Amino acid sequence: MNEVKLVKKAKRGDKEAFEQLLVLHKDQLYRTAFLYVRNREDALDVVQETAFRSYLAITTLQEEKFFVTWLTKILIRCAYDSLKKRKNDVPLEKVTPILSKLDKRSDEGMDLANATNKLEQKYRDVIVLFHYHDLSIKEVAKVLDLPENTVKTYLQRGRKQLRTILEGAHLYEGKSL
Amino acid sequence: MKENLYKDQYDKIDVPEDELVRSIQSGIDQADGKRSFKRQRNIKRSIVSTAAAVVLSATFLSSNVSNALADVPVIGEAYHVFNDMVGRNLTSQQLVTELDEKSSGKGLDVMMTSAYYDGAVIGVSFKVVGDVKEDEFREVNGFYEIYGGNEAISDSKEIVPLEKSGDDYIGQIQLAYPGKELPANTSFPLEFKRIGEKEGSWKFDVPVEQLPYEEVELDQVRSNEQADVAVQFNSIIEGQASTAINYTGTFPLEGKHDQVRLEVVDENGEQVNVSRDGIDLETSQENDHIVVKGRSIIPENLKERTDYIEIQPKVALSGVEDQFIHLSEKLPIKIESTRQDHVISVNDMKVDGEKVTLDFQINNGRNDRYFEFYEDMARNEVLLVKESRKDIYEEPLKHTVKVLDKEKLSFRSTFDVSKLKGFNENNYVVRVSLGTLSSNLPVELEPVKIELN
Repeated sequence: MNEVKLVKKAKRGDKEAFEQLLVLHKDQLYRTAFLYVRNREDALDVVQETAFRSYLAITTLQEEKFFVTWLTKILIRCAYDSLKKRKNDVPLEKVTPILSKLDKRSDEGMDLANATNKLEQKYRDVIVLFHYHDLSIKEVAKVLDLPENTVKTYLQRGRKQLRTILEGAHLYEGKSL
Repeated sequence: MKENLYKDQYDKIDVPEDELVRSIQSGIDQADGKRSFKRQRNIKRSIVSTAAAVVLSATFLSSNVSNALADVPVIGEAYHVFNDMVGRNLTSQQLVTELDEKSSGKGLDVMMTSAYYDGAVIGVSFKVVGDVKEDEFREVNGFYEIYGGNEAISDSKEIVPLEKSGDDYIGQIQLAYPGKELPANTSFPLEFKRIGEKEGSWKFDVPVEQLPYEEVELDQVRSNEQADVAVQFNSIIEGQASTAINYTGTFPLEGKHDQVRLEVVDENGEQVNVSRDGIDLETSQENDHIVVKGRSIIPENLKERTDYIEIQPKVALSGVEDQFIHLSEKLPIKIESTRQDHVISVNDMKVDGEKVTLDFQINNGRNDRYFEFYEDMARNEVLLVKESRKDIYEEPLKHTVKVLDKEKLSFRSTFDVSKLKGFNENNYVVRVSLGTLSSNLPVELEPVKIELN
């Protein structure tokens, strides 16, 4: 069944269709959550919260073809909420144990997650949506309520920042990725 | 096709498939529970819901708004909202006990609504009714103490987030029973000292009754001679929805704060989530060693998932003293930790009136972690300090860190000394702190295999 049909069913309250949709996009949801929160447990929580909020709000989705865009917007908001909560709740001494629990297998992802996390928020959102979610400039603009030209500018600056962080400015100066 | 510079790395982020699907399902179930509940409500409720739906469509989301869709507490709701895996599982098995205990003050009624006691894990859910004051972030937290805030008990003073549920707020607390022996029926003292922005005292003695469990005796020891540590696995407690691992850690006196951390995988090599690690139950001294009885909690019953588990014990070493290098010292010099193979080798050092330049390598280039961890180490743990103030942790001297060789973990730090009054080679030293390496790169002991059935 194509995705638009699933979205239509989900909007009519079909729980299974909604679940199918989310499972279809689960890897992307998890990886994006991981980029923001940088650990497995919180990333899973963010996905769960996204499922919760999006299921309650699915009837408000206007155009079926924008389902993923709409879902991503919810996910990003959940990720920021999780980060905000962590900032308020987690005593400093608990941060080290959390880091130590990170799965070694996630280390490659960690580099990217750490680097993405160091970007200014406005650049981070644009980079995540454009590069990882493969949205067009137009779609990114729609999700973030920004003019398209601003998205382009943020994208350029964000990429430059990310490149610097990821590869180490000293070693890779002048080398284009 | 759009160029995609970073997609490859993104795709390498490991996805925990099964857990992810479970998270999605429980998010939907949780929302579905509220929704069907909403449908049963009367007209007044549906007006509120419509208003809420309008807000939802405008902002797409807000957990407070979505929670407002269901304002009557359902047993176990808090366990879902706060993702307490044990509580959620027990709720679905109807093994959570309903409670009706109330404590009032400062215009707030705090009510214990349910509790469970599974193996070594205790959980309670509660509700706050009344005039709750939000904080500046428009959030509500509570501060509580259990067992009178006894310092010897892990997490005996904690902050807990509350979520709005209808007109009230709900919350959940999970604790590991702090004693070696697990009594069948017990109660634990709980006092809230602040709720939202209101300070006060809301006291309870929460009764809990233990669910049936199995305890399997173990006797396996893993040790490391250089670090002088040993971890003995004593028993495993298999509850209805949780598993507890009891062990005894033995450390030298200088490592009295050493920490046991367990990593667990199932028969398929899939990671098992250890939700509470290194709970200290009892500490004693035997001859020249510290003996710690400890416990770790896994928030699921593992029997259905796997026939055995493999535990990789790790010990994060403590008491690692800073070491110092004089600027006139002969190079190269290696700063090593005595109980572990951590080493920072300083290969070159240049001192002039303007700056001090240090070339150094971390752990001989052994790369156990993501690179930025070492970069942070290089920036923060190898510092030029005034000898008379070398034990005081002040804001570091201004310095830059250049990556000389990413693969080899080689760095160059350059400290600006041009503005330092009276700087000379004799009154400044390089402080090398290996403690951060030790707490983040623990000693890894041989894995232990434990049959569950």
